[in-house]
Amino acid sequence: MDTTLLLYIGIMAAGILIGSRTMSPEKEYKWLGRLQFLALMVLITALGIRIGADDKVVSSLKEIGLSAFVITIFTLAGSLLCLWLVRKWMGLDREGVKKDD
Amino acid sequence: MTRSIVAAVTAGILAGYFIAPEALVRSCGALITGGLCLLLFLVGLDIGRQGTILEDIKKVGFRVLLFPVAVIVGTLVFAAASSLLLPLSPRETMAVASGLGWYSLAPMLLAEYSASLSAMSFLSNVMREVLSIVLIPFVAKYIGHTECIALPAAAAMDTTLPIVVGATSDRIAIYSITSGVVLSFAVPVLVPLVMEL
Repeated sequence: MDTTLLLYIGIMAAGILIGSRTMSPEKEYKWLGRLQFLALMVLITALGIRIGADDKVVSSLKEIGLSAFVITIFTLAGSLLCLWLVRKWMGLDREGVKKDD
Repeated sequence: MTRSIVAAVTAGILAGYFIAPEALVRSCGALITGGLCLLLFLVGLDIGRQGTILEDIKKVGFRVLLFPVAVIVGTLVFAAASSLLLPLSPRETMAVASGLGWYSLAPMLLAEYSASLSAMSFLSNVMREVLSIVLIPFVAKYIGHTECIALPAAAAMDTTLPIVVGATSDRIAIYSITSGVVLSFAVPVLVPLVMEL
């Protein structure tokens, strides 16, 4: 694992620690949602600029999109199937309730 | 939300393609790292604020951790299988899928390996979230309630949580959140791990 990754995990862990010590679960923090949205938009735009500036990516955007779609469909089906198997194995019914409780 | 994301990425692509001064593109790397740090910190605050994850897991039992494990196994195995249909290696399709729906983090982690994989990861993980939103009501009705948390994977703890709870019941919320949190932690570990294979 490289250092950037440790930095990311460390920062998230710091957030969890600070959030659990200083913030309450009942109160609504509007600024938190707004700031998250802002950071997300900046990130997505920057990602878009990188995609757009890369001629190789732009020229194969259609194939990239199609591959992404196929992978997504497989991924959804696979996780659904595995979760269904685990639920059956745990003896939960369709509502997620244990049959013998 | 979906509309804002599509608008932002389209504006970015157009700007990158038509305007693209070298300096702007190069500064994107720093912008992405900085923005990601901010976002991860805020997501952390949000998780920590609820402060009950560990107690929640204890209450419903540690077997609840089997759900995110099932999501990871299903995602990776089927992603590997999808490479049979695509001009990609199983390692590449698994790398794309290991974003587990976290489209703001996973593409950044892949950017250092390949620009096309990074773009594919972004698209696929956005699609995972959008398709989940569409499919959750049907899965809840015809397959089962717990299965709903498998579709959005990491997003089950935040953006798609209201949809999962709305389509199922309050008792699924706790499964949805714990699974989403575990999967979110798995993303920054899983993506590089798959690339090192």
